[in-house]
Amino acid sequence: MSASQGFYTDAALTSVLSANLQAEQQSDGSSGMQKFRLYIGNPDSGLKIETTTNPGVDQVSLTVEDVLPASGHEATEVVLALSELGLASATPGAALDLGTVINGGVGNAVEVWIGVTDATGTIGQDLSLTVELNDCELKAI
Amino acid sequence: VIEQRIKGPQLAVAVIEQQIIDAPTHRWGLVVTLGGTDVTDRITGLVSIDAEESASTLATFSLLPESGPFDLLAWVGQAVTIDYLSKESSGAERWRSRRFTGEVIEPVHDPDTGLVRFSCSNKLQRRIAAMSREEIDAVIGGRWSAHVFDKDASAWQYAQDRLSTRPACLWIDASGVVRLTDWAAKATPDITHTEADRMASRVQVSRANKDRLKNQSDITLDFRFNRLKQRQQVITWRYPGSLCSFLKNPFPLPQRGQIQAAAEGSGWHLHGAVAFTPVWPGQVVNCGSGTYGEMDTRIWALDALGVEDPDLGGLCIGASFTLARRWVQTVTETYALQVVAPKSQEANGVIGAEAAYGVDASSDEQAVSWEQELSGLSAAGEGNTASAAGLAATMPAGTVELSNGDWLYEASEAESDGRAAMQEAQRTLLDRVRVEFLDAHRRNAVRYRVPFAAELDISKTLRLVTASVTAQGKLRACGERFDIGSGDAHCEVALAISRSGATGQVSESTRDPIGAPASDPLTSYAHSRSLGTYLGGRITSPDYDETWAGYVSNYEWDPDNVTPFDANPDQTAPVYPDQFVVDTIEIGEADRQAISASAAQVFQVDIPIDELTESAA
Repeated sequence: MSASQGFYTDAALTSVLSANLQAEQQSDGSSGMQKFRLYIGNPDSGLKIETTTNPGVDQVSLTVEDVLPASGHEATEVVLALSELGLASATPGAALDLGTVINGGVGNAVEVWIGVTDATGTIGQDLSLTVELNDCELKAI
Repeated sequence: VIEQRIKGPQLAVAVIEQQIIDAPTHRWGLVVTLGGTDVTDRITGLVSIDAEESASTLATFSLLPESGPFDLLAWVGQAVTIDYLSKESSGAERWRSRRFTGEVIEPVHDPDTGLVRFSCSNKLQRRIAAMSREEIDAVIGGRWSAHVFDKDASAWQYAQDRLSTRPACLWIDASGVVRLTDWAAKATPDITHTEADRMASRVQVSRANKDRLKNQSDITLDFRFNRLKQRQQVITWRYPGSLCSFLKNPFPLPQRGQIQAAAEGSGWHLHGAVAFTPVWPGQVVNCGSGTYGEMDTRIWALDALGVEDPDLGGLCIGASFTLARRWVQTVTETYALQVVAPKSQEANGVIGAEAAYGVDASSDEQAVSWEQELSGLSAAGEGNTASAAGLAATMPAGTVELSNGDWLYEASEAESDGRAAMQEAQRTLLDRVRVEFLDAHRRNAVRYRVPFAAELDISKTLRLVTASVTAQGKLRACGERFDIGSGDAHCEVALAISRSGATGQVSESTRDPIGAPASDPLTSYAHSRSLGTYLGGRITSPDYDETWAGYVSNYEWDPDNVTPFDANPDQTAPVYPDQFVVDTIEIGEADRQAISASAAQVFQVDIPIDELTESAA
């Protein structure tokens, strides 16, 4: 799996996510949900993000992908929300709609929260889950 | 126009790296309340609780506020509690332990994260400041002297002053109770940590700064007070002859009022009443044989009808009275207290300091009052002119009779500035210096990290045994860290290790005040004195002497009574002034001048030696 990219770790959109989201958890589940906050957008206000298909109509959304379905960790171990509080009520594994368009510019970035739990209790490292944008493109406004 | 388009899913991908690690049997959690409301679900990140000897315990945590506007200041002062929960792997609560009780002192909002960082304190200083001095005394004990500390100090400073005389720390426990714990490490540790307990952090051993050590203190304490003294003397005068000898050599008997006036004008205080010896009653008395063998019969104070002279009552043939004098002598006692820690000096050399204090119990007002009071005591002494018990009854309680007969009242008994206060000042200074020594020598520290243990608090004695370090000491500081994100819960502990630098112990001195030095040179004097009778008017009479004290008069001349009077009064015979003279003895310089005396003593302090062994691997 390639390294993380395209997300920003700060609201000012100056720091691009370049590392994996490290979710260290104890095997008995006692660690609880590991939470991450990221930002989606582009600092260039002349650009926007829309879906490739039906741009401006279809939702730009985040999805949880599992490269090894039915094996190891499952997509349902991840919840997505627009706020930290929203994680508690988010549907495990469900996609998160971000709107039909995300305009560029710092003020237009969308804050997203990713919550990770462990349902396996299996000791070891796993990189099978990713959080991705659906099929979108970055283009000029 | 070339429009560059970047298409997803490569547009944004975040890889989740799940690292599942072996979990302990039990889980933990926190319960945090803010203003009485459970806000645990909103707490995120690291929760820290830092406790330290004689300081407020501080707690910090981050909270995600509910959506909507909030007022940071509204949180200031709100009550905060933090409980640690031990849970079964199922999540069921096993037990909980209160870790902090305090209030918010500063909330800080981070707009970037949306979190509010709360800094909280159990406010030790404010808790103490709200106490009365009696309550502080009950909690801290120790000693306090207005001659060592500021009597107008705030409650907090007062507590610090008392604490400076006790080798102990003041703290507030997790439940909010103010507690005092001795510095001394217990002989048996409460908890022993081994290599297996110690978390993956190095053990840090730091030594006390030698420049801050102190092992000798030279204290000078001056105690100045008034010594109130009284001296008295019983004065007697009596006509030395019989009625016949008087009738044969008559002279004017003294008037009682004459003697009274002389006594009162002596310069000393007439203490009580004058006791007069009445003259002989009127009578016919046989005074032996005359020149030719005839009966010498004489009449005394009877008229022709045998009636006694009514003026006899104003005369006397003797008098006795007590004269008293009070004065004030200023005494300065200087106490030199040297406090030493011999074992530390053996290892570190002498590192000392000097300090001087004074207790002044002398008072001009008191001195004047003492001297003036005597004039008001006549009534009390009435009829007890020569009675020691009568004299003592006129003096303040505590007045003692000295071996030379003087009476002494040491005006040093006042509660605030008297001898007792001076002695308490000595005890306070001795205790304070001892605490300074102990404090300076327990600044060696061993720091390490262990998994969280609910029984850890400032009162505990810990022992660490590893391959390289063995140490035992009382917990000086404990920082609890609860990382909600990582699940890590640990304590960063710092042990205070007392070391003198040398081996062995010394016998510690009892810190009792030095006894008062002898400072009262006594002058002997006659406790009673008889005044003479000096009669002129005859050639056998000596020349008049101004130093005579007593009754001074002249023989009567009666030309009809040749015998036993001179046939002719010799015109050259000295004639004395008719007077009754009462003189007084001098109170010497030794009794009056300011005196000083000094006393010195060395007090030994034993520095406890806590175990601290370091060895190479």
